[in-house]
Amino acid sequence: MESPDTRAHARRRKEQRLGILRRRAALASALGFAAFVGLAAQHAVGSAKHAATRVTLPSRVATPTRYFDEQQSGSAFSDPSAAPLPPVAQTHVS
Amino acid sequence: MSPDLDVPSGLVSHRFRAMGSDIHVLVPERRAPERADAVEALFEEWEAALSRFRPESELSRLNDRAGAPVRVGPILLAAVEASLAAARATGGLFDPTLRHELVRIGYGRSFDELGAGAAEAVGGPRGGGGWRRVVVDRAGGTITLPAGTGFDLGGIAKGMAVDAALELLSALGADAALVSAGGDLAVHGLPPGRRAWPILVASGPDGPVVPLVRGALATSGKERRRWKQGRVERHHLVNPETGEPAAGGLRRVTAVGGSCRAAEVGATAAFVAGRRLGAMMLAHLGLAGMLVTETGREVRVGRWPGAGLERAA
Repeated sequence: MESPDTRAHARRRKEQRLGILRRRAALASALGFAAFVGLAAQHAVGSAKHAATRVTLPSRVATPTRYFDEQQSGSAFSDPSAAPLPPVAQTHVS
Repeated sequence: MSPDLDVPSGLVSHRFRAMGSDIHVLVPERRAPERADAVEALFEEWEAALSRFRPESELSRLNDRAGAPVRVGPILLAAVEASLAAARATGGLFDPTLRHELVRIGYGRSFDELGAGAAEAVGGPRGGGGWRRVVVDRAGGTITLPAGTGFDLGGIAKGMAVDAALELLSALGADAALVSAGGDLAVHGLPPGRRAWPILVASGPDGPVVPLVRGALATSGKERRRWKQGRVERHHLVNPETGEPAAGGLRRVTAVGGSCRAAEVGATAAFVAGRRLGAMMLAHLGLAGMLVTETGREVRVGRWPGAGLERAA
């Protein structure tokens, strides 16, 4: 028959093992996400044995550069549902 | 000239060829010849400075002297600084230093001269990234290219020329104007009595017509500038990591932004990023646009008309 001390000891061991498992699960989740992001970025720009440079998507949390129109305020469309007019110009693929 | 295009009342249409593209300008009737001539002269000046196909251009001189500082004029200096800023902003997806890769895959002559095919590739791909080692001395007016690297400013040069042409027309008193150079188009003001410029977007006569009020559009894709190198199909949008034409599952990307140079860079970077991340790239850069996949599916981003909808071909 187990003594109260033995039961308490077993409970502590069980809690410690659960804690370790939780930490491992959190770490695996973080690593998995990082791997996914890394793979996605690498897939998008392609990969090559002889790649001379590493190209990465800029971080989504990085401060956007002012080179672009981050607020989309420099361009605008009118209501596209209004009666269509014949086009005045055509863009081509460059 | 396409017979389907309308010339709004009060404006005059003018066309000419420059920078390997058909240039289309709409300017007010008053002083139209003077304004059209000014735009034509501007494009000639920009092409003379920035063409990699003209041996006597400033850009060719810079490319020929890679490894040493070269004194350059204000147009080339501005174009190089803008292209380096674009490369930084896109994490290198837009890479202006891919000249040697383009030559290797057969795009060593202007597309008009390329004809049906190109010579076989010599050597393997090296990839890009040379832009990171370019040194610009603005005060001294010099640029130093790393040895073994060369600039190709084709797309961004054309976009910047369109922006500069619109600024010139505005300075000449035009209260409404449109300048289009192949895949790049920008507007200033509005046509008399109208609320927008209806623009037929690059996909043939049945493509979407978008009512642009202000800003610029640019389309990058593999449908026009493509050729055969031996048995291999090539196009001009190179993935800087592989050194080979980008193969991300897209047919073309149209981006809209506050300037033509921003739209041009966004469209190219999104095309290189590919089907999965191209839309995210445009959104990250704060640009609206439309991506068309190789299967014809349309993905609209940001304030592009109908954004949030997807249409299968």
